[in-house]
Amino acid sequence: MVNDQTPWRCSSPCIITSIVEANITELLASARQGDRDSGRRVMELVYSELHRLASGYMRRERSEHTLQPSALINEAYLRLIGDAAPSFQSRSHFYVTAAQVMRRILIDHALARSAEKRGAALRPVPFEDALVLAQDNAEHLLELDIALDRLGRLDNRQRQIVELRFFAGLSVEETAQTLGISDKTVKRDWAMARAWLEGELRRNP
Amino acid sequence: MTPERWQRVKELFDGAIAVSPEQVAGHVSRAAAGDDAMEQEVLRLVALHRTANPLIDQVQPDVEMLRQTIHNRAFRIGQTVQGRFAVTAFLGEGGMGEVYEASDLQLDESVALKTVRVDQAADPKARDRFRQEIQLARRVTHPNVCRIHDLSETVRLDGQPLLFLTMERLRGEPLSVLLRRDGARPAAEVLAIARQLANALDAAHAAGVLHRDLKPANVFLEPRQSGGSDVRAVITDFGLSRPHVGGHASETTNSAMFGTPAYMAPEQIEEGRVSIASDLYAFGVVLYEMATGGLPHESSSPMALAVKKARHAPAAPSSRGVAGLPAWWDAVLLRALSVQPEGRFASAVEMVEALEGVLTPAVVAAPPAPRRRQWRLIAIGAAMLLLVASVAVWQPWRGQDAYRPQREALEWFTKGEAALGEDAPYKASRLLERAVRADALWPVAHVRLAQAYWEADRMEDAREQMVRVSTLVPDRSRLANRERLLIEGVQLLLVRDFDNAAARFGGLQDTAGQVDRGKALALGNHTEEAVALFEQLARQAPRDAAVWLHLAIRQAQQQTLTPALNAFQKAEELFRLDSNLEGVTSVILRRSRALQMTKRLAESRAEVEKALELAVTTGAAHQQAQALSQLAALASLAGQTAEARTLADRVLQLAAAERMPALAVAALNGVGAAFLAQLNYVEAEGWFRRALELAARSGLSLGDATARLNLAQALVRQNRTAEGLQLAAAARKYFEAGNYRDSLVSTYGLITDAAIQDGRNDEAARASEGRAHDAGAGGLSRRDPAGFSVTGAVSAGWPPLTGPDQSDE
Repeated sequence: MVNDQTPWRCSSPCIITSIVEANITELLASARQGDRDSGRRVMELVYSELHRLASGYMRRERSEHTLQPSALINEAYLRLIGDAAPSFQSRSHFYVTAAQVMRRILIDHALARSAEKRGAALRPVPFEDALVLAQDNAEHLLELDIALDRLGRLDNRQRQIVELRFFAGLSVEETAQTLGISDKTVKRDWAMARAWLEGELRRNP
Repeated sequence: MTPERWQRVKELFDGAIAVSPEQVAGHVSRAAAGDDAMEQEVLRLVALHRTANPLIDQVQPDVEMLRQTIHNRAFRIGQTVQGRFAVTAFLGEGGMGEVYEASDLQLDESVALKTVRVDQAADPKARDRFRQEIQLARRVTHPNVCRIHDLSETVRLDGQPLLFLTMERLRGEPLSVLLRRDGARPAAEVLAIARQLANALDAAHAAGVLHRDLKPANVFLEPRQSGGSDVRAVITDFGLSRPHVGGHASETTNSAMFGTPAYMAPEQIEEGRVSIASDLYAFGVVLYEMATGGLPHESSSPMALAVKKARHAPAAPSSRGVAGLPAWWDAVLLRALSVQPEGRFASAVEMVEALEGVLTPAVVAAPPAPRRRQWRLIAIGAAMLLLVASVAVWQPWRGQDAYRPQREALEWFTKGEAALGEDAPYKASRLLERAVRADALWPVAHVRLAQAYWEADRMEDAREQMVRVSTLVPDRSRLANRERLLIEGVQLLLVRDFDNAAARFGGLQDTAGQVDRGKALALGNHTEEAVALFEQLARQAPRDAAVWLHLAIRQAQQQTLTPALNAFQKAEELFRLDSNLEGVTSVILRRSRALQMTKRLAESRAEVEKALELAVTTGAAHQQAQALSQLAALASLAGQTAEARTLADRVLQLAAAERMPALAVAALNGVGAAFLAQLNYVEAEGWFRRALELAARSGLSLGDATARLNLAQALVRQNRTAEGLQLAAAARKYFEAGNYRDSLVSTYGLITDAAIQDGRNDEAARASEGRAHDAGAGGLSRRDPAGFSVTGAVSAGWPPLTGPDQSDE
C-alpha cells in the first residue's frame, strides 16, 4: 500500500494539454466512421476539457463572468481543435458530442444530488425534516434524461436538437447550422419535443 | 409508438399549433381522420405546448448547476498525483465520492481513482479503520469483484487530507443506469447476471468480507473483451464493507450511517446489524428490481420504509405487471426478502439455484414459520408514540362551561370526527348518527353530523341537525369558545360562506379544526392558502393521515401531481399503519381521480380497481359505489359505452339498496360528463336525463341543478339551444341562490354561448364561449369538479363540466 505522507501540493497548474490536441480531429473522423472506441474517447476528452475550462472560470471570476454552456463549448472547441480546420462533419460531430457531454455532466450532478439526499436521509435528523422531502430539480433532470433516451429511439435527430438547445444552450440558428438542417425544422422539432418531454415530466413524479 | 407513427404525430402537431386555438380540435380531428389515439396524442401535445408554467423550464440547466458540479473537485484533469497517477478524465460522482480515470505511470495502465468522502477522511481513527477494511477487502480476488489496488493519501488544495482508492478501471455501465433506462430485464438475463453476482458475494463472505451496501449502482456490466452479447457483472465498493465476526458487525460501526435504505435489510435499518443475511437481503432486492423493474417497497421516507420492511411482505413480483417471469420466482424472491434473517436463503448461490429451478420446492418455500419478533414492532411503535405526543390532540370539551357527553357518545363521536377528516362523509354520517343517538343533548355531535350530511350532499338532513342545535343552545354566548366557533363555522359552511367559515375554524387550536379551516379555504377557492396550511400541518402533525390526504387532494387540485402523489403515499402509509382500510380506500379513490385529471387513465383505472377490491373487503358500500362510478366514468372516457352502462347500473343498485341517491346522481352526471368530453352528445344527453329524473325523484336539489346544467350543455351542442337555455336558467337560479361559484361560471358561459350560437355560426359561438368563460372565471381558480377536463385545446375553450365530485362543492 502506498503511504506517501509527504503533503503533495500542486503549486502551479500542471496541465497536460498536448496529448489532447494532437489527435482529436483524427478521433472525430474515426468516430464518425462508427468506431465506438474513438467515439468514447472523444467524449471523455470533451468531458475533461469542459470540466477544466469550467473550473478555470470558477477560479478566475466568481460573479462577473456569466458562464453559459454554449460559451464553454465554443471555447472547448477552440482549445481542442483550434485552427485545425476540420470538415463540417467533424465540427458538427464535435458539437453534438459536446452537447451530450454537457448533458452527462449535469446528469452526474443530479445523480450526486439525489445520492446526497438519500445519504443525508439516513443521518439521525428530526423525523419531520426527513419527511419533508423537498421536490428537487435534480429528480426532474433525471426523469428528463430517461425520457430523452426514449425520445432518441423514436427520433434521434429530435434528441440531438434537444441536447443542443437544452443542454448546450445553442440557439435555433446554431442548432440548425450544426445539424445541417433548416431553422424551421429545428423550431418544429423543438416545439414538439419540448411538449412531449413536458408530458413525460408530469407523468413521472 | 413506432418511429413512423411518431413522424405522423409530428406533422399533425406542426399543423395544429399553426391554427388558432379555437380551430385546433376541429383541425386535428380532420387531420387524424378517425385515428382516435393519434388525435388524442396530438391534442395532448398541443395542450402541453401551451402549458403556462412548464416544468421543463424549471429544470433548465443553468450556470449555478455547472458551478456546483465543478466546484471543489478533488483532482483536476492533467494533474499528476503523487508523481504516479496522471489524471486523464473525470468519470462521475456517486454516493461514496468522485471517480476519475488516471494513467498509472509506473505500471503503464489505466486505473480508476475514487475519492473517499471528507467526513471519513478527516477523522484519523476513521481513517485507520477504513484502511484496515480496505486491507481486508483486498483479500477478495474474484473476476466479479472490482479489484482494489491501494488506498492512498494526499492533501487537497485547501489543505484538507484527501483519501483515495486506486482500483480497476471499469468501462461498462452500472446496472442502475440500465434498469432506470430500460426497466425490468428478461428472466434469462436476470439469471446470467445473478449467477455472477452470487459467485462474487459468496466468495467475499467466505473471505470474511461483507459488502454492506449492495445495490444496482454498485454493479457494473462490463462488455467482454471477446465481444459478444454477454457481460461480466462486477461488484464495486466492497471497500465499505467490514469484517464480520460470527455473522455480526463489530461494535465500532456506526453502520446506520452507511447503506441505502431501499436495499437494506430491516434489521440493518433499525439496529445497524449487518451480516451475511443482510447482504443476501440486499441481493434479493437487486434481483427483485431486475425482475420487475421496481423496488419491493417504495416509500418517501426512510422511517416509513423501515416500518414497511419490518411489517409487510413486499408485493409478489408476479403482481408487478411484468410478463414472462417463471411461476416459482414469487416464492423465491419473497423468501429472499424475509423480514427475519433466519428466514432467508443460506447463500447467494442457493438463492440463484432456486431461481434457476434447480432446487426442490421444499427449499424454495419459506422455512418453518419464524417467531414473530414483537419487540421490534414495539420499538417502532414507541418511536411513533413520541412523535404523536408532540401533535396537538383533540381534547373535546374540557373547561367549566363545556358539555360533558355520555361516554358511548364520545366514542362514536371521536370516530365520526376522524372519518370527517378522512374524506369519508358517509362513514362519518353513520358514526355520528350513533353518537347523537347515544346522547341527543350534545350540541357538538349534532353540528358535526350536520357537517357530515352536508358533505354527503344531504342538505335537508344537515339543516335539520342545525335546527336541533339551535333548540339545544338558545344562547350561544354561554358556550365555551370552541363550541361556539365550531357551530358557527359549520353554519357558515352550510350557507357556502367559506371565507368566514375558514376564519371561525381558524380559531380552533387543534389539528381537526385546522383541517376544517383548510377544507373551507379550498372550497372558497383559496387553494394556495389551503395547500400552505396543510403543508404546515403536515410538518406539525406528520403522523396525521387526514392532514396528508387533504394536502394531497388540494395539491392535485393545483395540478401539481408530483407532490400530491407523495402526500397520497404518506396518507396511505399512515392509514395502513392504523389498519384503517377505509382510509386507505379514500386515499386510493382520490388518487385515482388526481391521475385521471392529469390524463393518466390507465393508472387511474388500476387505482380504482384496487379501491373497489378494498371497498368490497371492508364492506363500505359508499366507497364501492364511488369506485364503480369512477370506473364507469373511465369506461365512458374510453368510449366503452356498454361497459359504462353495466357499471353505472351497479352503482344505481347499490345506491338504491343503501339509500345513497346523491351518489347515484353523481355517478350518472359523471358518466354523462365523460361522454360529453368525448363529444358524444346524444349519449351524454341520455345519462343527464336519467340523473335529472333520479335527482328530482329523490329531492336532491344540487344534483338536480347539476344535471340541468349538464343537460343544457349537451343540448346546446346539438343545436337545441332554446331547450338548453331553459334548463340553464333554472340551474342558474339555484346556483346563484346557493353561491356555487364554479358552477355559476359554467352556467354563464353556456348561456352566452348559446345566445350567440342562436344567431351565428358554430365557430363564432365557440370562440365567444371561451371568452365568456375566461371572463367569468377571472379571479377564481380554474377548477374542474368532474375531473374530466377534455384533452388539450378543447377544454381550454369549454366550461368545466360538473360531475360526481359535486359533494365537494
